[in-house]
Amino acid sequence: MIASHPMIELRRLHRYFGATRAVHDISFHVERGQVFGYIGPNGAGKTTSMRILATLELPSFGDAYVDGFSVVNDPDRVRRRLGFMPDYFGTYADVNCVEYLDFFARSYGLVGRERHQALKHTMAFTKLDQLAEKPIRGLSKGMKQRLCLGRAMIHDPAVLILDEPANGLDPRARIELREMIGELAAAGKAILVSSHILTELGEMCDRVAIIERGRLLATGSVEEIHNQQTPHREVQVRILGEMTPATQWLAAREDVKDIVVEGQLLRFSHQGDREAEVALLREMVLAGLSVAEFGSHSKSLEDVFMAVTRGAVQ
Amino acid sequence: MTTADSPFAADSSAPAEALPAGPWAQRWERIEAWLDRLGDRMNPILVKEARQAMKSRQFVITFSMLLIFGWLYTLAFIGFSMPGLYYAPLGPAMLLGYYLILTIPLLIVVPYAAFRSLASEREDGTFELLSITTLSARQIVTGKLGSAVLQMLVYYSALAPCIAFTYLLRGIDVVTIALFLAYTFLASFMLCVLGLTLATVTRARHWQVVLSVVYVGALLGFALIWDMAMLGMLARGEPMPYDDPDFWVANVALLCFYASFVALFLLIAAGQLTFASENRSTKIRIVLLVQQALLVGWYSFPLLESWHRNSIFREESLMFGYAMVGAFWALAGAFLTGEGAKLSPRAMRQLPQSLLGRMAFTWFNPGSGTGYVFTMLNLGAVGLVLIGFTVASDLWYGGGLKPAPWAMTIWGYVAFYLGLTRLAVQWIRRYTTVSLLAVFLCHFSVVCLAVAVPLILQAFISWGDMSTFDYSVLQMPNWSWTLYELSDNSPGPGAPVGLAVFAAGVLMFLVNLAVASREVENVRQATPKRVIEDERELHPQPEERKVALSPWDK
Repeated sequence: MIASHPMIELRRLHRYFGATRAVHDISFHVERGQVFGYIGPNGAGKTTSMRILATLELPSFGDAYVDGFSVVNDPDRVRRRLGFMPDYFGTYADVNCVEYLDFFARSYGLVGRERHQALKHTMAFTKLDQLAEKPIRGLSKGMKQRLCLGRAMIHDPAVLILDEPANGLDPRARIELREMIGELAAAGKAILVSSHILTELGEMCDRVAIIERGRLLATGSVEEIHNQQTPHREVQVRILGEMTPATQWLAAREDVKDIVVEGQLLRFSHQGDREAEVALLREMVLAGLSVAEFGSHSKSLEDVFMAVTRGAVQ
Repeated sequence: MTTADSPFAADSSAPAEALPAGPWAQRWERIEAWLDRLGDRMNPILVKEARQAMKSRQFVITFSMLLIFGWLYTLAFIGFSMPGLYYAPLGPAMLLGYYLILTIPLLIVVPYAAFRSLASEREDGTFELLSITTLSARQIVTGKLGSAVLQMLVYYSALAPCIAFTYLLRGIDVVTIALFLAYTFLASFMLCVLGLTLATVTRARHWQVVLSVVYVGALLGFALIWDMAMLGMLARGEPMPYDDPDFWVANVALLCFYASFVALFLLIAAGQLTFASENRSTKIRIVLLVQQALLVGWYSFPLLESWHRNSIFREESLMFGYAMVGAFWALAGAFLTGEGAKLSPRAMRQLPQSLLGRMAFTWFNPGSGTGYVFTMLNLGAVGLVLIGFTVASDLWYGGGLKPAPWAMTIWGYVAFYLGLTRLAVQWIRRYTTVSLLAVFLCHFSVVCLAVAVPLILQAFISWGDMSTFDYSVLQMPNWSWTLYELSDNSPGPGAPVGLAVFAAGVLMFLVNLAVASREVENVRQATPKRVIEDERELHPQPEERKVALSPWDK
């Protein structure tokens, strides 16, 4: 049966620490199989809202839901469905990798064959099978991060919350982590992930939420947010032959502004989405202009982030 | 819970691993499988702690030291006792040394390890990872306690042959040895429980360090006093009064109180670790009620016995008993009145619905007002029993009615000061949050000020003339002096002041009762549909048996 409710839902979530508004009126939702990026500068309130979702803190006002269960009123049911990977390792001394995962498997109530199966799959998925008997204190940062991901997913939760999972990892480990997150999403898990490495997030996330000073500034896909923020797109056209007719033709249009001529290149800003761009190209060709190249600059998550946030701290 | 394409779905089609051919290997496989199933039934914390503890440097060092000192002491004692060892009963003397060696790990190392085990989980952030698993706070605390018990048993087993040897040396009987070891086990167990409770008091690292130092100091002090007492008993060489039934009655009574306090501290520790929206109070209140019942029950035993023997009971013993009950409820009330007044929707799902249920069980619900009323009703109930007993005794034997005003005054003081501070805290809570510990400190300050301020005022009035420094009406707030006056039965304003205190207590109780009415108005909230669905999935009900309505229905 497909659930009718979102897997993660924040409803008017507030969390105050004295006069500090760590989280202020935040609402968004994440569906099954989605990777949702949660981005914002340090101290924006990402970790606080993730901790509320992980039933580690109570909201001052509002509520959050995991698979339809309130984190305030039914934390026990939320915990069965949720895997949380905080921004610290949280490992024990005198314990090896398999003992560590075995302990958490038992803690989530897995017994007998189910526990053995979960251990086997988690070790294989995180590629820790070769290091099963290795003490945790001897693991590299990347391996510890894998172990922590393994701990978060040992009970096969439907929802994963990953707080800065790629922090401090080398490029290879980051790529591997991204692949693992992709596989988990493909298996139907809803994943909420925060990171400072925006290029990583931009590639793996279906949707993102941008938060600053505890307030939600924007939510949606990178494209949607970009369109909300800046309705103009930077377009670059290479014309063969005479430039004047092309310049005049474009200048006559209301949706084109700031035309710059650089040799055979025309740069201008165009108001409209991708479909409007296609229409513009078609009209240029029909108008007899010799268009050799037509392209628009797509904003990255970093551009969007910089456009949306103001770098304010509280 | 499991997602559709999960790799975790149990692979039933996978062939079972082939068993090794040899019969011994097969047996071993079976034993291993049985042990694995046994491990599944155990508390995961216990399994993890046992794995960790047995590998830890602390355990290896302590265990090695225990063995080495045990052997060295055995060799030294035998060497120095020769040839007297062949004919003198040297069992008690030898047990002295073993006992001393054993109490160091049992009374210091294990309780401190239990304290650190939980405190370090909170310091290192691993507790957060534990708390988001499906383990309950009670499982976490009992798992840690179980691990401490396991260590205790290992230490006992290390010296068990040596202790058995002391019996062979004569001079000491098995029951005495067993009782000494049992008392020490119980003492160590209680210290572990206290250590675990203490570890939950604060999360701040600097306070953990302070608590750590205080706890180590307390453990050392306790171990010293305990060893002196126990070794003194052993050295005296007098057998314990096993033939006296009162000895065993006293042991059972102490064991009852011991068990109730273990339960209370474990519930407090688990409550501290439990998620804030859970009901953390009701179980503690039930234990408090049980403790009160135990106190009244065991206190009644000698009183009824004296009645049965037609001997007049000492009214002082009744007054002392009620003072203890008063102190107990004042302490409990200082914490109970510190609870928040707002019930979480989760706690409201389990509120009683019937009129009788609401009347009887509302006071077990979390909340400052219900806590206050619960405290005062319990203290009042014991007071009524005491007054009834006093009046009956006076009618039969003319024993005097002194305990009655004493009980009323104590009730009045507790009702007044708890109620006053509660109202003040409720008012402050409109503007800022006040923690449970802060409320307790407020109660403590008020009680101290109630003694100090009247004394200072009287000192100013009778400045330079100490002959006028007598008990007066001015000392009415001073519970300490007023109760002393009442117990002393000295002529003066003690008795009317006691009545006035009772009246003030009743008034304060009524005001608090009126203020607490909002907490009483809470009604049960419906369980969300999603929770009911989940509950059905988790615990599917067996299909209802079809009732045959006709001979053709089968």
